[in-house]
Amino acid sequence: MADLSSEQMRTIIERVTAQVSQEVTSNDATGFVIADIHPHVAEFGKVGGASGAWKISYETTSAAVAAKPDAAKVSSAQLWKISYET
Amino acid sequence: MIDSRVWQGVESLLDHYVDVRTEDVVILLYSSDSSESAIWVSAALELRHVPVRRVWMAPLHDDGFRERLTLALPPPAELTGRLVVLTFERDTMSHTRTLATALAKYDSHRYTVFRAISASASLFSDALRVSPEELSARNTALLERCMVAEHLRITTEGGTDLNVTIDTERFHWISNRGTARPGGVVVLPAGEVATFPAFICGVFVADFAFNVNALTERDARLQDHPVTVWIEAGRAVKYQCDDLATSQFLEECLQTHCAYNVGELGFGTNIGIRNAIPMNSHINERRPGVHLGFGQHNQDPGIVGYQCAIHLDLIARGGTIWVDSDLVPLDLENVAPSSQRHPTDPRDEDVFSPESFEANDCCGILTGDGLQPLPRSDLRCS
Repeated sequence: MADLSSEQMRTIIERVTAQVSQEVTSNDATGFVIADIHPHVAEFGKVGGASGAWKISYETTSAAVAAKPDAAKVSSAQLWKISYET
Repeated sequence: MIDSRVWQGVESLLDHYVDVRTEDVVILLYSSDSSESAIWVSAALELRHVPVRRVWMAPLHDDGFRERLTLALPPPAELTGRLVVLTFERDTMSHTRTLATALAKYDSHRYTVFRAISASASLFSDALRVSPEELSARNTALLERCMVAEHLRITTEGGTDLNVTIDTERFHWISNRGTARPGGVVVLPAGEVATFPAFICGVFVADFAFNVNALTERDARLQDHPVTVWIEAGRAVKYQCDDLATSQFLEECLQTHCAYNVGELGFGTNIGIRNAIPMNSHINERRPGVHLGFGQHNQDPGIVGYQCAIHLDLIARGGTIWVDSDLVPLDLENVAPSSQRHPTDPRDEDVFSPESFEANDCCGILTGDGLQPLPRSDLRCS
Protein backbone atom coordinates (compact mmCIF):
# COMPACT_ATOMS: atom_id res chain seq x y z
CA MET A 1 0.00 0.00 0.00
CA ALA A 2 1.31 3.41 -0.90
CA ASP A 3 2.29 5.63 2.00
CA LEU A 4 -0.47 8.01 2.90
CA SER A 5 -0.54 10.80 5.38
CA SER A 6 -2.88 10.51 8.31
CA GLU A 7 -4.74 13.47 6.83
CA GLN A 8 -5.32 11.57 3.57
CA MET A 9 -6.51 8.53 5.50
CA ARG A 10 -8.85 10.62 7.57
CA THR A 11 -10.28 12.23 4.46
CA ILE A 12 -10.97 8.88 2.83
CA ILE A 13 -12.50 7.36 5.94
CA GLU A 14 -14.74 10.37 6.47
CA ARG A 15 -15.93 10.26 2.88
CA VAL A 16 -16.63 6.51 3.00
CA THR A 17 -18.41 6.96 6.31
CA ALA A 18 -20.69 9.55 4.76
CA GLN A 19 -21.36 7.31 1.77
CA VAL A 20 -22.23 4.27 3.87
CA SER A 21 -24.40 6.34 6.20
CA GLN A 22 -26.32 7.63 3.20
CA GLU A 23 -26.72 4.08 1.85
CA VAL A 24 -28.00 2.79 5.16
CA THR A 25 -30.37 5.71 5.65
CA SER A 26 -31.87 5.45 2.20
CA ASN A 27 -32.24 1.68 2.26
CA ASP A 28 -33.64 1.54 5.76
CA ALA A 29 -36.13 4.23 4.85
CA THR A 30 -37.41 2.30 1.88
CA GLY A 31 -37.32 -1.08 3.54
CA PHE A 32 -41.08 -1.35 3.39
CA VAL A 33 -42.51 -0.04 0.15
CA ILE A 34 -45.95 0.11 -1.33
CA ALA A 35 -45.21 -2.91 -3.48
CA ASP A 36 -44.83 -4.91 -0.25
CA ILE A 37 -48.33 -4.23 0.95
CA HIS A 38 -50.07 -7.04 -0.94
CA PRO A 39 -48.70 -10.00 1.05
CA HIS A 40 -49.41 -8.15 4.27
CA VAL A 41 -52.99 -7.58 3.19
CA ALA A 42 -53.30 -11.28 2.42
CA GLU A 43 -51.95 -12.17 5.85
CA PHE A 44 -54.23 -9.78 7.64
CA GLY A 45 -57.15 -11.14 5.67
CA LYS A 46 -56.54 -14.57 7.19
CA VAL A 47 -56.88 -13.26 10.70
CA GLY A 48 -60.30 -14.02 12.06
CA GLY A 49 -61.16 -16.46 9.30
CA ALA A 50 -63.34 -15.96 6.25
CA SER A 51 -65.73 -13.69 8.11
CA GLY A 52 -63.02 -11.05 8.05
CA ALA A 53 -62.30 -9.81 11.52
CA TRP A 54 -60.29 -6.90 10.28
CA LYS A 55 -61.07 -3.94 8.15
CA ILE A 56 -58.02 -2.42 6.58
CA SER A 57 -58.10 0.91 4.89
CA TYR A 58 -55.57 3.03 3.10
CA GLU A 59 -55.76 6.72 2.67
CA THR A 60 -53.79 9.14 0.56
CA THR A 61 -54.41 12.17 -1.58
CA SER A 62 -53.94 12.74 -5.25
CA ALA A 63 -51.65 15.60 -4.40
CA ALA A 64 -49.46 13.31 -2.33
CA VAL A 65 -49.27 10.78 -5.17
CA ALA A 66 -48.59 13.45 -7.76
CA ALA A 67 -45.76 14.73 -5.64
CA LYS A 68 -44.15 11.28 -5.67
CA PRO A 69 -43.90 10.19 -9.33
CA ASP A 70 -41.74 7.23 -8.28
CA ALA A 71 -44.35 6.19 -5.77
CA ALA A 72 -43.65 2.47 -5.92
CA LYS A 73 -40.25 3.06 -4.38
CA VAL A 74 -41.39 5.44 -1.72
CA SER A 75 -41.78 4.29 1.85
CA SER A 76 -45.42 3.70 2.55
CA ALA A 77 -45.19 5.80 5.65
CA GLN A 78 -44.30 8.81 3.55
CA LEU A 79 -47.32 8.51 1.29
CA TRP A 80 -50.07 6.49 2.84
CA LYS A 81 -52.03 6.52 6.00
CA ILE A 82 -52.90 2.93 6.84
CA SER A 83 -55.45 2.06 9.49
CA TYR A 84 -56.89 -1.17 10.85
CA GLU A 85 -60.21 -1.75 12.55
CA THR A 86 -61.76 -4.73 14.22
CA MET B 1 -12.58 6.96 14.52
CA ILE B 2 -11.14 3.50 14.01
CA ASP B 3 -8.44 2.47 16.51
CA SER B 4 -5.14 0.87 15.65
CA ARG B 5 -6.09 -2.67 16.72
CA VAL B 6 -9.24 -2.65 14.61
CA TRP B 7 -7.27 -1.28 11.70
CA GLN B 8 -4.68 -4.05 12.07
CA GLY B 9 -7.53 -6.55 11.90
CA VAL B 10 -8.85 -4.95 8.73
CA GLU B 11 -5.39 -5.13 7.20
CA SER B 12 -5.01 -8.74 8.33
CA LEU B 13 -8.32 -9.65 6.72
CA LEU B 14 -7.25 -8.15 3.40
CA ASP B 15 -3.65 -9.38 3.50
CA HIS B 16 -3.80 -12.78 5.18
CA TYR B 17 -7.30 -14.05 4.56
CA VAL B 18 -8.33 -12.50 1.25
CA ASP B 19 -4.85 -11.78 -0.17
CA VAL B 20 -6.47 -8.98 -2.09
CA ARG B 21 -4.80 -7.59 -5.20
CA THR B 22 -5.38 -4.44 -7.22
CA GLU B 23 -6.73 -6.39 -10.19
CA ASP B 24 -9.46 -7.97 -8.01
CA VAL B 25 -13.00 -6.66 -7.91
CA VAL B 26 -14.48 -6.64 -4.41
CA ILE B 27 -18.21 -6.85 -3.80
CA LEU B 28 -18.95 -5.88 -0.20
CA LEU B 29 -22.37 -6.89 1.11
CA TYR B 30 -23.46 -5.53 4.46
CA SER B 31 -26.49 -5.09 6.64
CA SER B 32 -27.22 -1.92 8.58
CA ASP B 33 -26.02 -3.45 11.84
CA SER B 34 -22.60 -3.93 10.25
CA SER B 35 -22.14 -0.57 8.58
CA GLU B 36 -19.02 0.18 10.64
CA SER B 37 -17.35 -2.92 9.26
CA ALA B 38 -18.36 -1.88 5.76
CA ILE B 39 -16.83 1.56 6.31
CA TRP B 40 -13.53 0.24 7.63
CA VAL B 41 -13.04 -2.35 4.91
CA SER B 42 -14.21 -0.04 2.12
CA ALA B 43 -11.77 2.61 3.25
CA ALA B 44 -8.90 0.14 3.46
CA LEU B 45 -9.65 -1.14 -0.04
CA GLU B 46 -9.83 2.37 -1.38
CA LEU B 47 -6.47 3.16 0.17
CA ARG B 48 -5.11 0.17 -1.71
CA HIS B 49 -6.72 1.27 -4.96
CA VAL B 50 -8.79 -1.89 -5.11
CA PRO B 51 -12.21 -1.33 -6.68
CA VAL B 52 -15.05 -2.05 -4.26
CA ARG B 53 -18.78 -2.06 -4.89
CA ARG B 54 -20.97 -2.02 -1.80
CA VAL B 55 -24.41 -3.60 -1.68
CA TRP B 56 -26.66 -2.99 1.29
CA MET B 57 -28.89 -5.87 2.34
CA ALA B 58 -31.66 -6.35 4.82
CA PRO B 59 -31.01 -9.40 7.03
CA LEU B 60 -32.85 -12.60 6.18
CA HIS B 61 -35.59 -11.18 3.99
CA ASP B 62 -34.93 -8.63 1.28
CA ASP B 63 -36.93 -8.73 -1.92
CA GLY B 64 -34.70 -6.22 -3.65
CA PHE B 65 -31.38 -7.83 -2.81
CA ARG B 66 -31.17 -10.04 -5.90
CA GLU B 67 -31.53 -7.06 -8.20
CA ARG B 68 -29.02 -4.94 -6.31
CA LEU B 69 -26.50 -7.77 -6.26
CA THR B 70 -26.94 -8.49 -9.95
CA LEU B 71 -26.34 -4.83 -10.79
CA ALA B 72 -23.13 -4.78 -8.76
CA LEU B 73 -21.57 -7.95 -10.14
CA PRO B 74 -19.20 -7.52 -13.11
CA PRO B 75 -19.68 -9.69 -16.21
CA PRO B 76 -17.34 -12.70 -15.90
CA ALA B 77 -15.58 -11.78 -19.12
CA GLU B 78 -14.58 -8.40 -17.70
CA LEU B 79 -12.74 -9.86 -14.73
CA THR B 80 -8.97 -9.54 -14.97
CA GLY B 81 -8.36 -10.66 -11.41
CA ARG B 82 -10.64 -12.41 -8.96
CA LEU B 83 -14.11 -11.60 -7.83
CA VAL B 84 -13.91 -11.23 -4.05
CA VAL B 85 -17.19 -11.26 -2.14
CA LEU B 86 -17.06 -10.01 1.44
CA THR B 87 -20.20 -10.01 3.56
CA PHE B 88 -20.71 -8.51 7.00
CA GLU B 89 -23.63 -9.16 9.31
CA ARG B 90 -23.99 -9.19 13.06
CA ASP B 91 -26.46 -11.93 13.95
CA THR B 92 -27.35 -13.56 10.67
CA MET B 93 -26.07 -15.07 7.46
CA SER B 94 -28.54 -14.01 4.82
CA HIS B 95 -29.37 -14.62 1.17
CA THR B 96 -27.17 -17.67 0.78
CA ARG B 97 -29.06 -19.13 -2.15
CA THR B 98 -29.33 -15.80 -3.92
CA LEU B 99 -25.59 -15.35 -3.62
CA ALA B 100 -24.91 -18.90 -4.81
CA THR B 101 -27.14 -18.44 -7.83
CA ALA B 102 -25.46 -15.17 -8.72
CA LEU B 103 -21.97 -16.70 -8.48
CA ALA B 104 -22.82 -19.80 -10.50
CA LYS B 105 -21.88 -18.05 -13.73
CA TYR B 106 -18.29 -17.56 -12.56
CA ASP B 107 -15.46 -20.08 -12.69
CA SER B 108 -15.08 -21.32 -9.11
CA HIS B 109 -11.36 -20.62 -9.30
CA ARG B 110 -12.03 -16.99 -10.11
CA TYR B 111 -14.03 -16.01 -7.07
CA THR B 112 -13.68 -16.24 -3.34
CA VAL B 113 -16.31 -15.62 -0.67
CA PHE B 114 -15.79 -14.57 2.95
CA ARG B 115 -18.85 -14.27 5.13
CA ALA B 116 -18.33 -12.54 8.46
CA ILE B 117 -20.85 -12.92 11.23
CA SER B 118 -20.60 -11.20 14.59
CA ALA B 119 -19.39 -8.12 12.72
CA SER B 120 -18.06 -5.71 15.33
CA ALA B 121 -14.88 -4.01 16.44
CA SER B 122 -13.84 -7.20 18.24
CA LEU B 123 -14.11 -9.22 15.05
CA PHE B 124 -11.23 -7.16 13.67
CA SER B 125 -9.30 -6.17 16.79
CA ASP B 126 -9.24 -9.71 18.21
CA ALA B 127 -10.34 -12.52 15.89
CA LEU B 128 -9.01 -11.40 12.51
CA ARG B 129 -5.59 -10.39 13.76
CA VAL B 130 -4.66 -14.08 13.82
CA SER B 131 -3.82 -15.39 10.36
CA PRO B 132 -5.32 -18.48 8.71
CA GLU B 133 -1.85 -20.04 8.68
CA GLU B 134 -1.60 -19.70 12.45
CA LEU B 135 -5.09 -21.07 12.96
CA SER B 136 -4.44 -23.92 10.57
CA ALA B 137 -1.30 -24.95 12.43
CA ARG B 138 -3.16 -24.99 15.75
CA ASN B 139 -6.14 -26.84 14.34
CA THR B 140 -3.76 -29.37 12.86
CA ALA B 141 -2.12 -29.91 16.24
CA LEU B 142 -5.48 -30.72 17.83
CA LEU B 143 -6.67 -32.90 14.97
CA GLU B 144 -3.45 -34.93 14.97
CA ARG B 145 -4.19 -35.98 18.52
CA CYS B 146 -7.98 -36.11 18.58
CA MET B 147 -8.82 -37.68 15.24
CA VAL B 148 -7.07 -40.91 16.14
CA ALA B 149 -8.36 -40.93 19.70
CA GLU B 150 -11.04 -43.17 21.12
CA HIS B 151 -11.44 -41.53 24.50
CA LEU B 152 -10.96 -38.01 25.79
CA ARG B 153 -11.11 -36.74 29.33
CA ILE B 154 -11.64 -33.01 29.40
CA THR B 155 -11.14 -30.83 32.45
CA THR B 156 -11.13 -27.11 33.07
CA GLU B 157 -10.06 -24.93 35.98
CA GLY B 158 -13.70 -23.97 36.38
CA GLY B 159 -14.65 -27.53 37.36
CA THR B 160 -15.44 -29.30 34.10
CA ASP B 161 -14.78 -33.02 34.10
CA LEU B 162 -16.06 -34.83 31.03
CA ASN B 163 -15.56 -38.31 29.61
CA VAL B 164 -15.97 -38.45 25.85
CA THR B 165 -15.94 -41.26 23.32
CA ILE B 166 -14.75 -40.25 19.87
CA ASP B 167 -15.80 -42.08 16.70
CA THR B 168 -14.06 -40.39 13.80
CA GLU B 169 -15.31 -43.03 11.33
CA ARG B 170 -18.93 -42.17 12.03
CA PHE B 171 -18.76 -38.53 12.94
CA HIS B 172 -16.61 -36.22 10.90
CA TRP B 173 -14.43 -33.49 12.30
CA ILE B 174 -14.87 -29.91 11.23
CA SER B 175 -11.98 -27.52 11.02
CA ASN B 176 -12.63 -23.81 10.78
CA ARG B 177 -9.35 -22.10 9.95
CA GLY B 178 -10.12 -19.21 7.62
CA THR B 179 -9.56 -20.96 4.31
CA ALA B 180 -11.75 -22.75 1.80
CA ARG B 181 -11.48 -24.75 -1.36
CA PRO B 182 -12.24 -23.06 -4.70
CA GLY B 183 -15.93 -22.30 -4.85
CA GLY B 184 -16.24 -22.61 -1.09
CA VAL B 185 -17.13 -20.03 1.46
CA VAL B 186 -15.08 -19.01 4.46
CA VAL B 187 -17.13 -18.17 7.53
CA LEU B 188 -15.48 -15.67 9.85
CA PRO B 189 -14.44 -15.44 12.65
CA ALA B 190 -12.32 -18.55 12.29
CA GLY B 191 -10.50 -20.81 14.72
CA GLU B 192 -12.10 -24.02 15.89
CA VAL B 193 -12.19 -27.79 15.52
CA ALA B 194 -15.31 -29.74 16.41
CA THR B 195 -17.06 -33.07 16.11
CA PHE B 196 -20.09 -34.89 17.45
CA PRO B 197 -19.29 -36.84 20.62
CA ALA B 198 -20.28 -40.49 20.20
CA PHE B 199 -20.74 -40.57 23.97
CA ILE B 200 -20.31 -37.92 26.61
CA CYS B 201 -20.98 -37.76 30.33
CA GLY B 202 -19.83 -35.76 33.32
CA VAL B 203 -19.99 -32.16 34.46
CA PHE B 204 -19.46 -29.15 32.26
CA VAL B 205 -18.88 -25.67 33.67
CA ALA B 206 -19.31 -22.85 31.18
CA ASP B 207 -17.51 -19.89 32.74
CA PHE B 208 -16.77 -17.84 29.64
CA ALA B 209 -19.87 -17.16 27.51
CA PHE B 210 -22.79 -18.56 25.55
CA ASN B 211 -23.65 -18.28 21.88
CA VAL B 212 -27.11 -19.11 20.62
CA ASN B 213 -28.53 -19.09 17.10
CA ALA B 214 -31.24 -16.63 17.99
CA LEU B 215 -31.50 -12.89 18.22
CA THR B 216 -30.81 -11.75 21.73
CA GLU B 217 -29.49 -8.64 23.43
CA ARG B 218 -28.70 -10.60 26.58
CA ASP B 219 -25.13 -10.22 27.87
CA ALA B 220 -23.43 -13.41 26.68
CA ARG B 221 -20.68 -13.38 29.28
CA LEU B 222 -20.76 -16.01 32.01
CA GLN B 223 -17.65 -15.31 34.07
CA ASP B 224 -19.65 -13.81 36.93
CA HIS B 225 -22.30 -16.53 36.97
CA PRO B 226 -21.00 -19.76 35.40
CA VAL B 227 -23.43 -22.35 34.14
CA THR B 228 -22.98 -25.92 35.35
CA VAL B 229 -24.50 -28.71 33.28
CA TRP B 230 -24.65 -32.33 34.34
CA ILE B 231 -24.53 -34.67 31.34
CA GLU B 232 -25.51 -38.32 31.17
CA ALA B 233 -25.32 -40.40 27.98
CA GLY B 234 -25.04 -37.39 25.72
CA ARG B 235 -27.88 -35.43 27.29
CA ALA B 236 -28.10 -32.56 29.73
CA VAL B 237 -30.00 -33.88 32.71
CA LYS B 238 -29.57 -30.93 35.06
CA TYR B 239 -28.23 -27.42 34.89
CA GLN B 240 -27.59 -24.72 37.43
CA CYS B 241 -26.74 -21.04 37.35
CA ASP B 242 -26.80 -18.55 40.21
CA ASP B 243 -28.14 -15.80 37.99
CA LEU B 244 -31.90 -16.04 37.77
CA ALA B 245 -32.25 -14.36 34.37
CA THR B 246 -29.59 -16.57 32.82
CA SER B 247 -31.19 -19.59 34.40
CA GLN B 248 -34.52 -18.71 32.83
CA PHE B 249 -32.82 -18.14 29.52
CA LEU B 250 -31.23 -21.59 29.71
CA GLU B 251 -34.56 -23.12 30.54
CA GLU B 252 -36.18 -21.56 27.51
CA CYS B 253 -33.36 -22.81 25.31
CA LEU B 254 -33.14 -26.32 26.65
CA GLN B 255 -36.89 -26.87 26.61
CA THR B 256 -36.78 -26.74 22.82
CA HIS B 257 -37.37 -30.14 21.29
CA CYS B 258 -34.13 -32.17 21.36
CA ALA B 259 -32.12 -29.23 22.70
CA TYR B 260 -30.93 -31.25 25.69
CA ASN B 261 -28.74 -33.33 23.36
CA VAL B 262 -25.04 -32.53 23.18
CA GLY B 263 -24.74 -31.95 19.44
CA GLU B 264 -21.21 -30.64 19.34
CA LEU B 265 -17.89 -30.94 21.09
CA GLY B 266 -15.81 -27.94 20.05
CA PHE B 267 -12.36 -26.59 20.79
CA GLY B 268 -11.63 -22.93 20.06
CA THR B 269 -8.19 -22.16 18.67
CA ASN B 270 -8.14 -18.43 18.01
CA ILE B 271 -5.44 -17.04 20.27
CA GLY B 272 -6.41 -13.47 19.44
CA ILE B 273 -9.54 -13.80 21.55
CA ARG B 274 -8.86 -13.48 25.26
CA ASN B 275 -11.84 -11.92 27.01
CA ALA B 276 -15.51 -12.54 26.42
CA ILE B 277 -17.52 -9.82 24.75
CA PRO B 278 -21.13 -9.08 25.77
CA MET B 279 -22.51 -9.66 22.29
CA ASN B 280 -24.07 -13.01 21.47
CA SER B 281 -21.43 -14.00 18.95
CA HIS B 282 -19.21 -16.60 17.35
CA ILE B 283 -16.23 -14.60 18.53
CA ASN B 284 -16.54 -15.94 22.07
CA GLU B 285 -16.61 -19.59 21.07
CA ARG B 286 -13.45 -19.30 18.98
CA ARG B 287 -11.51 -18.50 22.14
CA PRO B 288 -9.05 -21.24 23.12
CA GLY B 289 -11.09 -23.55 25.29
CA VAL B 290 -13.74 -26.23 25.21
CA HIS B 291 -17.36 -25.64 24.38
CA LEU B 292 -20.41 -27.84 24.04
CA GLY B 293 -23.18 -27.16 21.57
CA PHE B 294 -26.60 -28.24 22.81
CA GLY B 295 -29.32 -28.98 20.31
CA GLN B 296 -28.58 -29.06 16.60
CA HIS B 297 -25.56 -31.19 15.77
CA ASN B 298 -22.82 -30.53 13.28
CA GLN B 299 -23.14 -33.70 11.20
CA ASP B 300 -24.92 -34.48 7.95
CA PRO B 301 -28.68 -35.09 8.13
CA GLY B 302 -29.49 -38.64 9.13
CA ILE B 303 -26.15 -39.38 10.76
CA VAL B 304 -27.13 -38.48 14.29
CA GLY B 305 -30.85 -39.14 14.25
CA TYR B 306 -32.42 -35.88 15.28
CA GLN B 307 -32.74 -32.34 14.09
CA CYS B 308 -33.13 -29.42 16.44
CA ALA B 309 -34.20 -25.84 15.87
CA ILE B 310 -31.74 -24.47 18.36
CA HIS B 311 -28.00 -24.56 18.84
CA LEU B 312 -26.83 -23.23 22.18
CA ASP B 313 -23.09 -23.14 22.72
CA LEU B 314 -21.89 -23.00 26.30
CA ILE B 315 -18.25 -22.03 26.41
CA ALA B 316 -15.59 -22.64 29.04
CA ARG B 317 -12.37 -20.71 29.49
CA GLY B 318 -9.50 -22.94 28.47
CA GLY B 319 -9.38 -26.67 29.03
CA THR B 320 -7.12 -29.68 29.26
CA ILE B 321 -7.64 -32.73 27.06
CA TRP B 322 -6.30 -36.09 28.15
CA VAL B 323 -6.13 -38.28 25.03
CA ASP B 324 -6.51 -42.03 25.60
CA SER B 325 -3.66 -43.22 27.80
CA ASP B 326 -1.25 -40.49 26.72
CA LEU B 327 0.37 -38.94 29.80
CA VAL B 328 0.86 -35.59 28.13
CA PRO B 329 -2.39 -33.66 27.84
CA LEU B 330 -3.32 -30.94 25.41
CA ASP B 331 -3.60 -27.54 27.03
CA LEU B 332 -6.05 -25.62 24.86
CA GLU B 333 -4.58 -22.28 25.93
CA ASN B 334 -1.06 -23.37 25.03
CA VAL B 335 -1.31 -25.48 21.92
CA ALA B 336 1.98 -25.93 20.14
CA PRO B 337 1.28 -25.28 16.44
CA SER B 338 1.93 -28.25 14.21
CA SER B 339 4.34 -28.02 11.32
CA GLN B 340 2.55 -30.81 9.50
CA ARG B 341 0.05 -30.30 6.71
CA HIS B 342 -3.53 -29.87 7.80
CA PRO B 343 -5.34 -33.22 7.54
CA THR B 344 -7.53 -33.61 4.50
CA ASP B 345 -10.14 -35.76 6.23
CA PRO B 346 -11.92 -33.08 8.23
CA ARG B 347 -14.51 -31.15 6.38
CA ASP B 348 -12.89 -27.99 5.17
CA GLU B 349 -15.50 -26.45 7.32
CA ASP B 350 -17.54 -23.42 6.62
CA VAL B 351 -17.61 -24.69 3.09
CA PHE B 352 -20.79 -24.25 1.18
CA SER B 353 -20.80 -26.77 -1.61
CA PRO B 354 -21.21 -25.10 -4.99
CA GLU B 355 -24.31 -27.20 -5.59
CA SER B 356 -26.19 -26.58 -2.40
CA PHE B 357 -24.25 -23.61 -1.04
CA GLU B 358 -25.70 -24.38 2.34
CA ALA B 359 -24.23 -22.96 5.51
CA ASN B 360 -22.28 -25.68 7.24
CA ASP B 361 -20.78 -23.96 10.16
CA CYS B 362 -20.09 -26.14 13.13
CA CYS B 363 -21.78 -23.86 15.55
CA GLY B 364 -25.17 -22.93 14.28
CA ILE B 365 -25.78 -19.85 12.22
CA LEU B 366 -28.94 -17.86 11.97
CA THR B 367 -29.99 -18.15 8.33
CA GLY B 368 -33.27 -17.30 6.68
CA ASP B 369 -34.54 -20.76 7.54
CA GLY B 370 -33.28 -20.68 11.05
CA LEU B 371 -34.82 -17.66 12.71
CA GLN B 372 -35.85 -18.86 16.11
CA PRO B 373 -38.38 -17.20 18.35
CA LEU B 374 -36.27 -17.71 21.40
CA PRO B 375 -36.60 -16.52 23.98
CA ARG B 376 -39.48 -14.27 23.09
CA SER B 377 -38.50 -11.53 25.49
CA ASP B 378 -35.15 -11.23 23.75
CA LEU B 379 -36.38 -10.90 20.20
CA ARG B 380 -35.46 -7.78 18.37
CA CYS B 381 -37.25 -8.80 15.18
CA SER B 382 -39.13 -11.73 13.81
